[in-house]
Amino acid sequence: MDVDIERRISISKMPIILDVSLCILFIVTSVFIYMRTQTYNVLALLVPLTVAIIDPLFATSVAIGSRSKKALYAVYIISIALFICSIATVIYLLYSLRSVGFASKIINSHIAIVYLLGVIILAYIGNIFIEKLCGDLYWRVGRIISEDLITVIYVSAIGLIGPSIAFFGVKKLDSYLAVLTILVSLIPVTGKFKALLSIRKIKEFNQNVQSGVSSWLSNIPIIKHFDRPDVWSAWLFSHVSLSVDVSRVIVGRENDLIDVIAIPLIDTIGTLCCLDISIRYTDSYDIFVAIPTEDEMNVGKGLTNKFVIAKLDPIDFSLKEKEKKTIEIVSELADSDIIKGLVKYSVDVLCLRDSEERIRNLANGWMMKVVNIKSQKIDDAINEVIDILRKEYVKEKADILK
Amino acid sequence: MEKVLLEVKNLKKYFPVRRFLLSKDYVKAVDNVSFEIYRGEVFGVVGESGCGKTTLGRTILLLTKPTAGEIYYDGENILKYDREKLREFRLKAQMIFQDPYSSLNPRYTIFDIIIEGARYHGLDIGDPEEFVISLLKKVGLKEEHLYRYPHEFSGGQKQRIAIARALSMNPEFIVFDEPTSALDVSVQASILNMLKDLQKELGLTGLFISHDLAVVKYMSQRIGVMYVGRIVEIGGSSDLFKVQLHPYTKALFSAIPIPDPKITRSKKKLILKGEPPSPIHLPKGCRFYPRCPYAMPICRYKDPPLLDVEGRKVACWLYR
Repeated sequence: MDVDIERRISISKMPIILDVSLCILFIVTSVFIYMRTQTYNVLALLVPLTVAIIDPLFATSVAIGSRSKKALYAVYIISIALFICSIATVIYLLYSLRSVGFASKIINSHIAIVYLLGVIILAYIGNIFIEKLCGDLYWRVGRIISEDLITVIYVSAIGLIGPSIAFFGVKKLDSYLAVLTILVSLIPVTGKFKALLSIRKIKEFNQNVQSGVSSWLSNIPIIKHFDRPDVWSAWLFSHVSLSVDVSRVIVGRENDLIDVIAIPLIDTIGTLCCLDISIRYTDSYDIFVAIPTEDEMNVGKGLTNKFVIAKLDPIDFSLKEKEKKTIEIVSELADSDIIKGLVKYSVDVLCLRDSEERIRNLANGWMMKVVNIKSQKIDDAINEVIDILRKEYVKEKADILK
Repeated sequence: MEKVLLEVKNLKKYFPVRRFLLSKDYVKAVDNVSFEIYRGEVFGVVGESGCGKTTLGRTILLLTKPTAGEIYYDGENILKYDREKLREFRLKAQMIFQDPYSSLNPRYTIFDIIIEGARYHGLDIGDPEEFVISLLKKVGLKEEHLYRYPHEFSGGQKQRIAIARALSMNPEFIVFDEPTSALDVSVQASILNMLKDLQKELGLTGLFISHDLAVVKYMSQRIGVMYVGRIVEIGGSSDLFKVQLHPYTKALFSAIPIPDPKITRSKKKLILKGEPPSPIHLPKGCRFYPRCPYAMPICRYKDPPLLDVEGRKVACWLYR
């Protein structure tokens, strides 16, 4: 009977909420301040702010683990709408500027200055907070979703020049400088346009993520088998579901296995926002036990490069067959070579007699189960390890079945 | 057990990397370093260039402000010192810099260079000339050198002047930042011998920073091995030279050249693959794992703490 352990690891929603909230706050206040100051330098902030919501929107749709196509289409439609709003703002700004013959209407320039300075400070603090809230593991996602706030800072800084000059009496330049602000505000818009077009390449993107995940899983020796990882992506952000088959000797170390799978995957893929891991205990694969040998008959002390590898039945741990193997030592570090050799033979259990702690830790680190044996003869050692495994796992399985 | 004079706990020193005035990345020059130095002991720090040894020494003396962590000097946290206490600490703790050519003011005479600190701190030194002459004699220089300028001296003599300047404060603790690396081998030996004699004579406690393992062995009672901002192993000087526990220490010590072709041929050298990681984007887990011949899956996601192993300290999952 297979037993499942399931775990979902996903990015915190807090930084995404914070990002979207800041953008909405800035949009509302920018419109309000524009009405009070009549400077296009403030209204130009709407251009990067509307598109800044697109990335967090996609990230949210992935982080909540939703795999609904309808929801994804909705996100795309909202994103396109935001993009159109951004472009419309640019057109409106340029049209308005032209229709008034680039005449400046700025009033209350001090309000615009204070507001833009406030935006710079808040956006900077927000950016830092978003990255901190995303944490070390999701730092790349944090970068992507907070990057647009940096553009808001640049646009605000450029936009600050016009009202500042107006504050000192030269109002004419405000509208001309607004053109410069609009041009700078277009920087993130082109990037978002490419992002929206990426829907056409989503299959290729998924395949890349899938092969990355598969190659990592195939590097973990304790995993007997894994299903093709299921990848769901929205824009750059991915949600991966995977299930792996492991033997029962892993019982008690599931959390270690989950960390071994998850942390390097999230670290490497970078834009992985949600990861579902399912561990299945399986009795479909034989259990391999390695016993270091001194000669044909005797068990070696510590770690040697000659082994008897016994294949045990996964259900009752009876001996199916045994075979002699010699591991070639290729580097200066024999112990490391030997353990890596055992990993290649998919050894689940390593029997050791009089071995130092370091070797046990090395084998444990590769997720092998280390069993201390006392027997000196190889056949006795095999029987001893079978007894140990039966005591430990047959009872456990009976408990599970109850 | 001897009394601890200096204790460093989880010390961090990050330098911001600025991008358009906004800093988001940090060079983690010193990252979570902990160790202690006993009174009268010289603690050596070794590691390859750029691993953060000098930053560690400078941060301990508060020449650069630490990002986080605690530094206890004689049981008191120096980061909580007020101005007056800090002044007192600066008297007790001195640093000898790597480059004697740039650490001496070329416009000052040797007398001015050595007396400057004592004057600034208002020390009771009696006759200044006699005081400086006595220091010059202590470091193997002569009375006639008193009113000469730094450019009139050789590298070794300049380093002796720098040592005399540090001694003028009558310090308890000295950070020796690669004091001989800019000197040729014959001068190195005389400076090292002099430092060792002075350390014994004056009962100085020291932090000896070097990338030269033989020099550190000669000068230190205990050694800490540093790798990309972290101490990965601490052990007695002679123990560490006999058996190395951390794979990086093994590789570092296996690179020591032996002037005997027979031994060199038979000696197994542990050649590490790749380059040290960027101190800005360090790998998750153990920072040595991409190069470690023993790297295990756990090393990829969990950073090993400094573990106590047979009276030594090692940051490696092989010894958990």
